[in-house]
Formats: sequence, structure tokens, C-alpha cells
Amino acid sequence: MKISLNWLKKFTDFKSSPEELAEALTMTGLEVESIDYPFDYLKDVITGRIEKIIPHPNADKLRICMVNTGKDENLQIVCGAPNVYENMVGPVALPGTELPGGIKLKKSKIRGEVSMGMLCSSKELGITEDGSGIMDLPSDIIPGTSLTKALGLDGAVLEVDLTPNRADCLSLIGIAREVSAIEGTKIIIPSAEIYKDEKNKGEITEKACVEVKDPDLCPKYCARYIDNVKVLPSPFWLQSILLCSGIRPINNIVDVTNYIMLETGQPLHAFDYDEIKNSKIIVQRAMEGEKFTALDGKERILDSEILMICDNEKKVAAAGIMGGENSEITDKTTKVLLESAYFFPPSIRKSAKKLGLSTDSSHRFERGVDPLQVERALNRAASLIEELGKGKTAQGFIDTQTKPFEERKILFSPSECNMRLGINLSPDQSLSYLKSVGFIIEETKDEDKYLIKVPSYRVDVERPEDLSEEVARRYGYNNIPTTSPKISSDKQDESEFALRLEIKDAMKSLGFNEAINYSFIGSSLLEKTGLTKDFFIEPVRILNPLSEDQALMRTDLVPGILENISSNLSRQITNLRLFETGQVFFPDSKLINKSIQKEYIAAAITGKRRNSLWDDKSPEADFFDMKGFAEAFFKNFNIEPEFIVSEILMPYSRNGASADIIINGKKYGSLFEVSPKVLKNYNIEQKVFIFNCPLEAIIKNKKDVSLSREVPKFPAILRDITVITPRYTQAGKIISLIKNLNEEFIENVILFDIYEGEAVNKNEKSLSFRITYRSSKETLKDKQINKVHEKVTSSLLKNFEIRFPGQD
Amino acid sequence: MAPESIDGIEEQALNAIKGADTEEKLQNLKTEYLGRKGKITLFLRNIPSLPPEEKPVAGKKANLLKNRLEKEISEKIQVIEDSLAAKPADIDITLPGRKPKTGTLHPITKIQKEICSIFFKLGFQIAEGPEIEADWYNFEALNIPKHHPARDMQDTFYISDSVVLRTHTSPIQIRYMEKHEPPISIIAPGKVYRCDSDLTHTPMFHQIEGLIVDKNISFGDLKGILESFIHNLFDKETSLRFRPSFFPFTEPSAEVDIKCVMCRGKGCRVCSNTGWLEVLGSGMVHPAVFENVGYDTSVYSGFAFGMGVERLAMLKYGIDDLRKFYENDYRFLEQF
Repeated sequence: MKISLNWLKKFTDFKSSPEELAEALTMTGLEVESIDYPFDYLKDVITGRIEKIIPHPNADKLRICMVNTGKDENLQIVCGAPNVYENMVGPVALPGTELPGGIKLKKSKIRGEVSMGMLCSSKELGITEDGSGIMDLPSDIIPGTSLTKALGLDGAVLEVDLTPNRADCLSLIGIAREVSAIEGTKIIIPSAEIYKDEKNKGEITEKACVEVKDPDLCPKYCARYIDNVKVLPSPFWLQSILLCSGIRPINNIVDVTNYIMLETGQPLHAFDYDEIKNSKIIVQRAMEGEKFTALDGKERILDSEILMICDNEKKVAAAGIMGGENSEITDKTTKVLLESAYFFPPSIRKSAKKLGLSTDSSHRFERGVDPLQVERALNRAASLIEELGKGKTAQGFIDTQTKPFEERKILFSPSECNMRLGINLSPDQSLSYLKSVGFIIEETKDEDKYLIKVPSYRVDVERPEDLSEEVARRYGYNNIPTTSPKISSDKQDESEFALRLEIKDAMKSLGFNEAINYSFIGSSLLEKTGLTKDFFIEPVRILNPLSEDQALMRTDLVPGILENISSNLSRQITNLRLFETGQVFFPDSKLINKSIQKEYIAAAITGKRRNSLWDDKSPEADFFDMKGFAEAFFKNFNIEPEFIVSEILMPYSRNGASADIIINGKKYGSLFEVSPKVLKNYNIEQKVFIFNCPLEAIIKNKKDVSLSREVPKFPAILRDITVITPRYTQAGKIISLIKNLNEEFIENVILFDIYEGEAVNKNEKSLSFRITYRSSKETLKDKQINKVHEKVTSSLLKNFEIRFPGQD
Repeated sequence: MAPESIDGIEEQALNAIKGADTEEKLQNLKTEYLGRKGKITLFLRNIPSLPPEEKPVAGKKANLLKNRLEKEISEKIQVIEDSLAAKPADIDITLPGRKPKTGTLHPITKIQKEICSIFFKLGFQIAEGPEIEADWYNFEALNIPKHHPARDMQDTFYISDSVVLRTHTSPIQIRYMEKHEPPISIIAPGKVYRCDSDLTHTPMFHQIEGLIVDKNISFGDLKGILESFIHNLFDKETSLRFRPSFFPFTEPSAEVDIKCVMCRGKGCRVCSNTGWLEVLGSGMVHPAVFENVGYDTSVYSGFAFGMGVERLAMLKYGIDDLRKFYENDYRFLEQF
């Protein structure tokens, strides 16, 4: 809402500077976004009176004007506009002045005649769209006065960012009420008591009638009839006020309705009376599928929830939102039907949403206008049209209201208010704050209880708590003393926040950088990753996405991580370790409107194992780097997962290089090399390894540190065993077999060498294991070890297709 | 071959020791003279075959010499070791070290961690909730009816008529209050979504919500908690300013500004020359919210507050562009 301070001054006489006023308004809850001087760019333009007009000797269409700008000598200005006349007052731009559009005026010669400046049209000055001629200013302006001052365009304009509750401040009178409370000044509300006529009586009854078919949506509809109307541009003072308020002047009738809306907060609408069939207004819901062309020239399709203003055969306005093209005020209009109504706020809001229209009018109606202002605003507008001498109002007005609006009264306890705020005001102080913003106080029998009558414009105030805000606002939030509550926390922390941080810290300690991607994804990215429909459940879809790329809720963290790798590779960063934790989403197959939200962790590596150094050319990272990271990661939570060849291959995993992560016999996520096809879709030209797993794998299986074990007292004895196996034999299976023998002396088994080459047959490999033998009771003797070691070899022979070196 | 005389061995050995200039040579000499087949060992072994009158003298001499050589050799080895130890190592210490790669937390995580730990110390618990949320929790229960203009304050992503991507972390308040009785003091971090994307808005961002419910909680308490939070997050010189505002789920409501941490209130680009930064929304819990979760409004009162995490991270870490948070540029991520 734009507030012209020049105009505001007419309602209350404040002393503060624009900056002080802005600060004070902000601190009472009306946040001032900016202080502007919208026509400051015209500060060098002055006014001048054309004293004499001489024809131009060298051009038929040009004339030479001798212009009085308050100086001793008149200025000679060449002008081509058709509307200049002697004694006309107009705006003069002198050499050196920069006009909108960046033209800097210079003293010049036009067709051989000196021109000392320029007489300007409103369009040339960027004030209105009117470029038909030089601005014909009021003749009482003293030549030499600055144009903005002469027209009242010179004042500051406050842009107030109103919260939706303060509907009352969508008007100059509303703002003036706040200012008067701040400054302690009086408020002057323009009188509208000029009509002594009565509702639904007199001439009006012959001229028009109104039928409201949906009184729930329109409890009050008032109208007046005005004839002998002359539609012309508004006087400059009126145009100026609209311009400073950010509204484009159109013609005197429409401008008056806008002006009164800005003044009172009550939107009005003017119909061309002659276009209303049978002079009858019907307020009713539209029928499904009907069409309506509003003033903006766009045709819209209606439905039965939208309230329309109609005549006997057509729709003439979308109630409270916008008038129709078919009944708008034009230059030819001579009779006007003026509407002022109260519409049910949620209905207007719904309709405006459906029509995709948000207007100054709908904005006010959906927040709630002052129901007691409806008649006043109508009368103000009619009287202003008369005042301008541009119409004659018929006697009487239409009012359809049958039930009075409810008056709101709230039982208020100053001591409870003090408690809520943490202050200690006397009842008189609290009550005086309420009075200062229009509340009326009634005493009750209870000393601490008062009945507070809410003014009709404060549609937001319903409860004692709302009154406590009014008191706090006036007292000043910053005067409320700061206290410290005693926090009695007897609850357990049930969130996974702390564990998630541990998880992130674990990845950090492994050298991974955390990424955060949007939870949205597009179907093209899913397809790039191989997650096509036939593979996956349809993702949760957003009805109103910002773009197709962000229309679905992600079902997997992998596409995001791959995208991050791809974009970083294009920035020439080739060694990457990234991880992300976050929710993925699926529709619930059983419950409509429910979705499954599950948190995952995904980590990826690509590029070199380490950053290469001066003496150490690091190899490319491979599957086993990622596997090691995964193992180390789980070790943080005392989890030792098993990795088995994936049963089902994800569409983005490379065949043969994908493992399922098994913990306590249950599958959680996978560890894999990204398939070359998917990498190609992402333009990634190096291998990428990913580990992807739901957080529940950790939540459900993590163990606190198990009891510490005795540090061994006796030495270990190492025995190596080398076997030759077919290439397909899984070394991991051999290790687990040895471990699962559960021989008491076997402490550990590691694989320390793999060999393929000339010394073994093609399709064979040699695997060398090192077994650590140890007893907790004694130093083991060879004999004891040999016994176990033989068991190892024999069970290997029994369970695997193996031979020992030297055997064929 | 007749065994060498002990005097001959002595002269020979001492000369050799004198001439030996490395540890290796000295060790060889040790073997040559004192080893199992060393000259002195052999000499000693030969003593039984000597004439009886020579035996004692020869034995004594040989043993003395053995001790002497052992001492001389080990002393000389020590000298050589010492001089070697004193010799400077021949490396270029300016070569880069072999750093293990260290990872980083996203700045959002980092600031969340910091904020939550401040509140944790103040006695708050952490609560969380779903990101796809029912209209009831996101709006209705928070006193934001379906056709209320307050819905315009948040551009909402809809999944269906009654399901949305949560537009704020406030629904966590409702979910928590439904399950717990007062006293309550929670902090609720999380991702939130709004249908808005430009220089200063991303469609997904993070918020942290706070809620206290107990008997006799006042607006002054709200001010106290937020002040001590801001003083912990920034410093004690960072003053706060409370402005009346509007949130449907609080009454009275307050917008909280802090003195600009960049210019200390003098006015700069970050605070648009106002000297103040808007960082928190807050207020006393609206009675309608308590009614929706079945709390007795005549017994309990409380306050709630919410903050944008990105905004605080930008201030705290001097990040100038909101979009950097979600570009996941490695060079950006590596700084935290």
C-alpha cells in the first residue's frame, strides 16, 4: 500500500519527518518498506505561462511561444503541439533537464528559430499516457513554481507492507488512525452526511432495482444512480493523488471510485447505467461453464462458486473483483450506477483464485472491509462526482441489507494481559492504549474485567489475546522487559537429529564433502538414471511445480549425486568424494494422500584414490575403495555388514560390480559401480562408485561400543596359505568359511595377495591368505597350530574347487 | 700356523680400530677379533696347549685385551653414531605434505548443528516431522483456514487438495503437542518448500522452529530466550529489536531484527542500509492452536519462533548468494 504523505496530512496533522513516521509505523506493526519520491526525477521541471504565440516563419505546424517562467525575461520556446493557447500554463523543461528516457535538453535552434526549452506533454514527463498535447495546468499556478510542487507530486510516498490481518489499514483513514495514535493528533474524516435521503425510497426506486440471490455471499449491496454525467479526465489534484498511490488515472468517474477506495478502504464499482438491461442488478452465482470478459479484455470460464453481478440477460461484473467490458464507463457514458457492497471474504478469495485475478478490490474484500463503511463510501463517491460538477445524484439509494452486522465485544482482563506480556501496567494504562486505536470500553461488575467493543473496521480482533497485542503494540515491544523462563525438560529426545549428525561426521572423517540437493526431480533426470516407469513406482507428483524439472519428489538420492559429479567434472574438478543424506518419497499404495518418506544416505567417489603428489601418482579409485569406505562408515556404529553379489540389479548399477549390503541377515541398500550407460547419459567419462543405503540400516542395527576385550598377552603366529582356484571363486567366501570354522586359535584371516598370470593356468588365480593364530592362555606350539591348519586346508578342499601350488 | 702373539694381535687390532671410520668396519673388526672365530677367541682357545708357565699370563693378557677392544670398538661406534646423528638430514622440507583428505559438512548442516546445540544447552529437545504434510498440520491446525488471505504469505506446493509440501517447520509443533503434554520445550529443524524461485528465494530451504509451552510463559520470556540465542550465535553486542507483526498461529506476533552483524548497525549493503536484519518470526502461541491440540488455554501459555537457516548461515559465514547452497560446487563445499 502506497501512502502519499501530502494526502495523509489532510487526515491528521503529524509533525514527524517521513523517516521518523516510517520508523514509528514499522515499530507499531505497519512495516514501511521504503520511502520514495516517485516524481523526484521531475524536480527541475518548472511551470510557465504562455504570454504570446507567434507563428513560426519556416514551419506551418510549429509555433513560437513566449513563456513566462517567473523571470524578468520571457523564454522563447518553439512548440509543435496543437493545444497551446495564450495564457495557458504548462510544464517547462529548461536546457540541462533530463527527461524520462534519458534525453537531456539543450538550447537549440528549430528550423532557424531559437528554442530555450520545451513545453511538455504528460506522456513526455512520464506522468500519464496522455501525449495528445501540452499539459494544460490550472491557470492559478504562479509561473516558475516547480511542477511537482504545483501538482502536489512532490511529497514522500511510504510503501507499507501490510500483514494480512490489517485490512483496516488498506485505506488512508486507517493509516491516519494509526498515525494519530502515534502522534497524539486528531483525525479528520471527510464528511459524507450531505445526503439526507433514505434507503430504498425516492427517485432511485424508479431508476434501478437490485436482487441478491445469495445474501450469504453478499449481505449488503448498495447503489446510487447519477445522471447528467460528463466523462472527462479528472482534475490534476485527483490524478496526482492516484499517481502517488500507484494507480493509473482513467477518467473522472473511475478515478473517483478509486480515490474513495483508497480513502475509505471500500472498493466501489461504476456501471454505465444504459448498459444495464432493464435497470436491474441481480447478484447470483455463475453457472458452470459460463463465460465472462472482464475489463482486462480476457475471457474467463466461470463456475458455480463464483459470485457475479448480472442484469437480466448478462454478467456485468465478477463481484468484488473486476467489472465487465460490457458495462464499463466510456467517454459516451451519461448515466452511472454506482455500487458499494459487502461481500463474504472467503467467497471473493476463492473466486479471485479461480479467475486468476487479483485486484485492489478483491485484495480488500478478501481481507474484510468495514461493513459500516459501505454506505458512507457510496455517499462520498456520489458527492465527489457532484463536487467535480460532473453529474447529478438521484434521491435515495438502494440497500439490500436485511440483518444487522454483528457487533463484537470481548471480555478483557488487564491482569491477564499483563501476565501474557510479562509487564505490569495499571488497568488505566492498558485501557487507554486500547482507546487510542478506536476500542470502546465498558466496565463490568468485576474490577478486573472490561467489555471491549471492537470497532467495525478491526475485522482481525476476536479474542482477548488480540487485545493484548494491541496493548503491546502501543506500549512498545521493546519496552517489555526481558525475562528467562525456567525450562523444565522432562522429555526424551526422540528425534534422529543427533544420530544424523553422527552419520554426517562419520562421512566427513572419511574425507567426503556433504552435498544438499533439492528434493524435487524431473522425469528426464529419472530416465537418465535408468529409473523409468516400468522399473519404479510412480513418484509423488507436485500439482503446481515451478518447472517440469522439479515436478516430482525424488525416489532416490543417486540421480542428484550423479548430477553433482557431472557438474563438478565440468568445472574440472575430477577427484570427488560426495555424500548426501535426505528424504526420498513414494506414494503409499494403500492409503490415498499418504506418502512414504524415508531417509537415505548416498556417497560417491570418482577420480583418483588420493590427490597425486610429487612422488606418488595415485591410482584411480575403484570398487574396493568405496567398499572400504562403506565398511569404515559402518564400523563407526559397530556394524559389520556383509556384501553379497546383488540379487536384483538397480538400473544404474554395473552388472557384476554391485553388492547388496546385508546386516543381520536383512538387505539394506547397495554398493556399486555406476553403469557405463548411465554415466554416458550424465556425460561422465570416468568411473563412479556409490554406496546408497537407508538410514534405518544404522538406526536399527547400531550398537554402542561392545565391552572391551583383553589385550592379548601371548604372541601370535602367522601362517600363510596359498590356493589356486578358478577365476570366478569368491575370495570373500573363502575368508568367511575359515572364520566360520570357529576354531578357537584362529584370530584373523586376511587376503594378502591375488595373482593371475603365467604361473597359473588361464582362468585360474592364486589367492594367498594369512591366518593369525593365537591363544589367550599360552604361547602356541607348532603342533597345536598344525592341527588347526590342517582342518583349514581340508575344509577348503572340501568346499571349494581348489588346488595348492605345485599340485596339478 | 703358529698362533700370533698376543702383543702382535694387540698392535694390529688397535691400529685397525684407529683406521676404521664407519660403523660397518668396526663391526667387522669386532667379528675379526672377538667373534666366534676371532683372533682373540682363537688365541684363548689355544691357551690349554701352551706351556703351563705361560698359561696364566697369556690368559690374563688375552682377557684384558678382549675387554679393551670391546670397549674401544663400542666407544668408537658411539662416536660415529653421534656424529651421524648430528649430521643434517638431506630433504627438502618445503615439499608439500601428504595430507589425508578431510571431508566437510554442508554449511546448512554446520549452522544447524550450532543452532541446535545452543538450544540444547538452554534445555530444548529436538523434534522432527514429515516433509510431505497434511493440509491440517501445515495450515488448519495452525489457525490458517483454507480461504484465508494468510495463505498468501506462503506460496504452497500442492500434492493434492489436502496434502502439501510443508511450507514451514511449524506443523512439527502440532504433531509434538498432539503426542506430549506440557511442559514442552522443543526445537525443530528441517527442510521446507515454497513455490518461489529467484535471487533471494529457493524452492527448498531450511527452517528451525522453537516452541515452549508451560504455565505462566510470557512475551518477556520469549524475548529472553531469543536474546540469549542470538548472543550465543553471534555475540553480546548483537542487539535485538522486536516489531509487531502477524502470524496466524501466534498472538501477539513479533518480527525480530538483529543489529546488522556486518556493519554493526551503521548501514551496509547486507542490511539495505537499515542497520537491521530480519532473522526471526515469533509470538505467543495463539489460543486457537492450543484448542486444536486439546491444551487448556486457561492453564498453559507458550511461545513459538522460527528462523530461516540459510539467512543465518549467510550472515555467519559471509555467503553472498543464496543459490550457492544448492549448486553443490565442490570448491564451495570444501570451505566448510
